[in-house]
Amino acid sequence: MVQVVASLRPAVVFVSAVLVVGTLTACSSRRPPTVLAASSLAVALDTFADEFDITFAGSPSLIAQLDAGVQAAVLVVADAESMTKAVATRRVHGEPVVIATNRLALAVSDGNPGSVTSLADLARSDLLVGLCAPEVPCGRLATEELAEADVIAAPDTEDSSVRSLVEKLRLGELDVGLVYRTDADAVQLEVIDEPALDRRTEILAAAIDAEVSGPVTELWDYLTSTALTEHGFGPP
Amino acid sequence: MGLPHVHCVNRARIRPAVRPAVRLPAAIIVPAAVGLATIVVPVMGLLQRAAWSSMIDILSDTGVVDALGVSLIVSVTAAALCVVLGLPLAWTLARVDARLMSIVRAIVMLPMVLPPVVGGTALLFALGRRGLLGQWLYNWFGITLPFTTAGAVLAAVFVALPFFVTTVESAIRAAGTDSDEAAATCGAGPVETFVRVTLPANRGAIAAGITLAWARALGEFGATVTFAGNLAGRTRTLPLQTFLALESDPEAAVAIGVLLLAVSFAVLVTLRGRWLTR
Repeated sequence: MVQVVASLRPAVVFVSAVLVVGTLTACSSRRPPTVLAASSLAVALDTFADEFDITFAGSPSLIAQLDAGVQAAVLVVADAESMTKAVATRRVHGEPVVIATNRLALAVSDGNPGSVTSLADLARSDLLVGLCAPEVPCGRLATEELAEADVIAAPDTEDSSVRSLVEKLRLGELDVGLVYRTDADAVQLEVIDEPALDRRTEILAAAIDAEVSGPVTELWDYLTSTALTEHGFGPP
Repeated sequence: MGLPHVHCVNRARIRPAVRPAVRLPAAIIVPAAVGLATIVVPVMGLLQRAAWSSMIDILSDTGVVDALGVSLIVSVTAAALCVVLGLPLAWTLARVDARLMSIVRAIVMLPMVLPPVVGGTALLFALGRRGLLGQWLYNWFGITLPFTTAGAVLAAVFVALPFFVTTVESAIRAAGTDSDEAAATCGAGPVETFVRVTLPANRGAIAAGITLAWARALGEFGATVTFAGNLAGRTRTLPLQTFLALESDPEAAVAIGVLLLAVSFAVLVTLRGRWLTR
């Protein structure tokens, strides 16, 4: 279970350690406001990294942290199903807001050595194919797209994070993969135009435990404006 | 071996007949208890969240059964490779007295301090399809290691080998060279000495090293997911399955975590009982 611990923020681990020793002190009040955001927003929220304590992780990990009682002001997740689960933790304050949309891209390694032309190539066994696992938002979207296009993919890996797929494509270890368009853009991955990839997934934000106020307002206004479209996201 | 008895006493047999009674001063017991608690408390945290009634259902899921199979194959193969490659390395580090050896020793320890994800990336750079050596493997033999079970084994050996080597090396070093010299005096060659004197004399440390390396290989996550990928039945080990379950079904993640603990605890207790008690 080392991985479970590793997915939590160091501060949380530290607090647990303090608890074990039995000298619990109030050390959380001086920290900047905490934001829990889906990994796909890492580039878009970069400008806020100094003012806020932003945890970028997969949406399910973020929800697990909420459920474990981690202090947070704002939550941003990668799809509606994740937000439904977040609401179930009873920590979402008010109505969640759809702030942007994202869609998948058929990304290939540099120079497209596998001569990929369409979604159907994901079924080719001679290619090294990477998908997101169906348990995570990008994998859910991929499963829908593949079913709609009637393609039975032959993946060589089903990763739990888009980031690790992007990295393997960038290094040329995978020939082709389905990743978020924004992630492909962020590292300038070569993308094959595939009109069939037309489904959009919603990015949702919600205030946690209390209404948005104070320094968090600026971040909230940014999220709910059209600023995210500058980072490759679609409008809500 | 037919060697004169007087020269070939097994030093390991000479030990005090009676253990002195151990006193338990608070200055030692209190921090020891806190140390133990830092391990026990999180394990209890895991166990109290386990849904025992649905445990069987969760663990008989094909995904979990596949992952257990991959985990056992990968961890056992990795531990075996650690012995084959690690024993000669440990012996060399313990016996060869050169200034260079301290550098080699530091190199052997590197995977212990390197974050496993970085280790996995390093493996990709070296043995990936476009890696330093990997490109030749691919171009000449058509071999690709990433996304294969062999790749998962390699990732596990990378992280586990230092545990085996450091354990065995310090034992061989501590045992000294007296027995080896005695064997040499009795006419044994270096290889015979290694096989018939050094190995048996250090079997406790070798068993401990195997245990440590196997346990590390079983729990391995970061290097595997980075280098070998994550595919059910091929490279998705129990830790990878746990992490994935954490994303979708936390109850299943806890159940798999408990399974992982149970398997390793059973093996560790059995091995300790069999080889490591004196």
